[in-house]
Order: sequence, then structure tokens, then C-alpha cells
Amino acid sequence: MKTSLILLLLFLASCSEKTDNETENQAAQEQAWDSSFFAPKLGEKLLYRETIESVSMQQTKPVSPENINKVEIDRVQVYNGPEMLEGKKFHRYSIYNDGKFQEGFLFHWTGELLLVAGSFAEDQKPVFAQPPIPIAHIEMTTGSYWHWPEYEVFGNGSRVIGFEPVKVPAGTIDAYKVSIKKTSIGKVTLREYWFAPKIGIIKEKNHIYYGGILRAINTIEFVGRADSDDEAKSS
Amino acid sequence: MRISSFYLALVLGVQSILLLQARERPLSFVSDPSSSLPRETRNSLESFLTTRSNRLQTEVFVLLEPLPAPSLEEAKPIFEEFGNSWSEDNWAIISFRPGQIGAPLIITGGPFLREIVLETWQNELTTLQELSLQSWQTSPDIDFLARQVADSLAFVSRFKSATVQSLVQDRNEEILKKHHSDKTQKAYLIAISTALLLALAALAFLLRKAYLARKKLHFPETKWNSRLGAPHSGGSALIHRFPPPQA
Repeated sequence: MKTSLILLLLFLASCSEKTDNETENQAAQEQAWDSSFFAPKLGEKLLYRETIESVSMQQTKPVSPENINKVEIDRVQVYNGPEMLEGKKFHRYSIYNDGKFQEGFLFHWTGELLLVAGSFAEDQKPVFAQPPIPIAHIEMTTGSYWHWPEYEVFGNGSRVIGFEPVKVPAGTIDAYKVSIKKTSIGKVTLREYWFAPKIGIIKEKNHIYYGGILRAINTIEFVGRADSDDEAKSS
Repeated sequence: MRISSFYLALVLGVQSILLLQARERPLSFVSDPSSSLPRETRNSLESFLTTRSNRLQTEVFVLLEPLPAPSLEEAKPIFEEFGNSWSEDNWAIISFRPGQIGAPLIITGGPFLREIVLETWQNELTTLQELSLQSWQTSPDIDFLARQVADSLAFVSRFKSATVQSLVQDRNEEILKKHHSDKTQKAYLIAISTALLLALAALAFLLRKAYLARKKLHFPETKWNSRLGAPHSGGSALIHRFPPPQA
């Protein structure tokens, strides 16, 4: 009885070792992507400065400088790491505005396409976007274009305008410029973002029009990495 | 419909005029003889368009000079004449008439403009013009409009070489198909499980009924003792009543 118990324990121990190895191999296989395009680092904090210039909904033309409300926010994006959900691998990013949790995003990287797959609130419960929204493609170039089914997302789709140097507080970084124009009843949103390989979105500018007047300009710019600003500047 | 046709005709008409004038490459990316733009904005726009030209080989020139408005008789489609310019490369001239709110934006350019679907392009320009009028400035935001139109031109000049669209579209369709198939699969699974459960319950009921129908119940033989003069015999489980004595 004692011998059989020892044998059983040994068998179980050998099984668990094998599982660990398998997990490591699987993780190694999953990490084998082109990290020159998408390279998240666990716990990495990217710092941004967000500026919101807006006028009230009651504002009519002419708009004097006193009518424009300007707010500056320190924005931090933290990479919380990969996570398996419903059999798929997602990358969890948390956004903090002035130190408070604002929102979270789930990214999905197929090896060639980066998608915003969903979001999550403070309770960490994921809400999946249907369909996921593509933000960058490994083969994208000026003139690349993609869109979503019209019944899902209204707009003119994503247009890659060019690969150009962008001046942000972190320095001058080469990035893809992508433009999206969304229209709904009475509202137009003109969104432009710059995606830098290996870093992510380094700049975003949104023009929001409503009721025949520009209501807000929202600008987000990459300031640097929390751990090493010099590294961000040099890249 | 009439208004859009008029604008279309107007744009095409002015293009023909500009084509005659655009036989030579403009000297600067921004021509602003009447100093409509602040110097800082002008320099920034010039730098933006120079970078565009160097990086994307799409030269976009901005001309800020009032032009004579063409008559409707002069407005005629001339897209086939786009090749008769100084260059076969991707170039375009955006011309604004500063000081006139809602004045038409006029564009002429190299052969690549022939590939553009005119109606789509016209809609886009109209939207951008409208947005430039909604700015916080008292006059149309020419800097914004010039940059947006230059971006659109850079995009459409390279649109043919785009490869991502099909990949992403396929991916989207694949995801949607999977999502729908997952939903359908789930619905089927629930339906099949429910049907199986109901069938099992019905089968169990029928089997029980058949079993009970076939089952023979055996009761023990009942015996009672004769009790003379007593109305009945038996105990707590069985009572046998005797007939009343006959007179």
C-alpha cells in the first residue's frame, strides 16, 4: 500500500513537470512574433499628455478665446500583460488619468494585425467589441485602407496617410498616420492617430463637430516611458 | 442635386482654367501673395507640404489667390486632359479664395486624379469645406482645410497599391462569421440539449407507464375467523363484515 502510494506520487510529480514544460514551449511559440512592430513589455508605463479644448454645447459663432475651455491631463498607459480569454490571447492595457483609473483596453495581436478587441472597467470584467477594430497592420503603407461593416461602425474607414516623422514631447518619432472620419446625425468626428512600431499610438488628435460648430479638439501626445525617458527619446 | 451638379461643374470648369495656367511647377508649396495666412501658419504649412513631398512623392501646392469665377459655359469635364501638365507624377494644386466664406475649393493635378471617383471626391471636399467653416476662427480654417485635402490627395494617390484592405476585411468577415457561427452553434446546442432532456423525460414516463401496466399485483390471501353472532371479523388491516343474521 505504501509502495503504491509513493509510485502514485512520483507519477503525479512527473506529470506536473511535463505540463510546466509544455506551458513554457507554448508561451515561447506564442511570443515568436515580429517584435519590431508589436513589442509590449509587462508593467511598462507609457506617459502621455492629453489636452482637451472645448466649447459648451450652447456656444454659437463667433467663438472668442474666452469661450474655449482648456484642460490638461496626465495620462498613463500601463501594460498589464497577456491573458487567455475564451481560448484567445489578449493584451490588457489600463489607462489612468491624473492617477485615477479611467478605462481599460483589450488588444489582440494576430501576428500581423493589431486590433482593439474590447474594453474593461475598474472591475476588470472584459466587454468584447464586435467586430474588433483594427488599428495597425504589419504590412500597412500609404494608401492602405480598411473599414468595418457599415451596420457596425459608421464612418469612412481607416486610411493610412503616410509614414512620417512626428514631433511629440518624447522626441521626433517615425510613425504611420491613420485617419478616420465618422459621421452620425449632426455629429462628425475626425480622428487622426500616429502609430509607431514597437511603441504604439504616440499621438492622437480628434476634432469633434456637433450642431455646425467645432465642439472639441482632443490631443494626446507621447511624453515618454515612466521607467526610462531617455530610451523613448532615443527611439 | 442641382446644387451639387453646379459645384461639380464649377470645379471641373476651374480645373480647365488652372490646367492652362499650371504648365510649370509652382515655385513654392504655399503661394500667398495677399498674406492671408499668419506667417507662422504659412511656414508650418509649407514645412508640412515639403515633408509630404519628400516622404510620399506627392506634391501638393496651395495657392491662395482669388481667381475669376468660371461661367457655366466654361465648365466642362476635362479629366482626360490631366496628362497635359508639366509632370506625370503625383501633384496637385489646391486653390482657395480667401475672404469668401463658402467659396469653392478648386483642385487640379496630375494624371492620378483621373483614377478618383469624381462623386466620392466631390463629397469629401464638400465635407472638408464645411468642417473648415465650423472652426473657432471667424474665417474658414484654410490651414486645416489644406492639410486635410493634402492628406486625402496623398492617400488617394497611393490607394491603388493598398493591400491591407482585403486582409483586414477578410479578417473582419472571418471574425463575424465565427461570432455568428459560435452563436448559432450555442443555440443549436441548447436546443438539442433541451430536446434530449424532454425526450428522456417522455421516455421515462412511457417506460414507467408500460411497466406499471404490465405489473401484476399480488395480494395475500385473506382469511378470517368465523365469529358467530359478531358483525365482522378481522383486525386493523382487514375487516370482513358478516351478513346480518336471517330471521
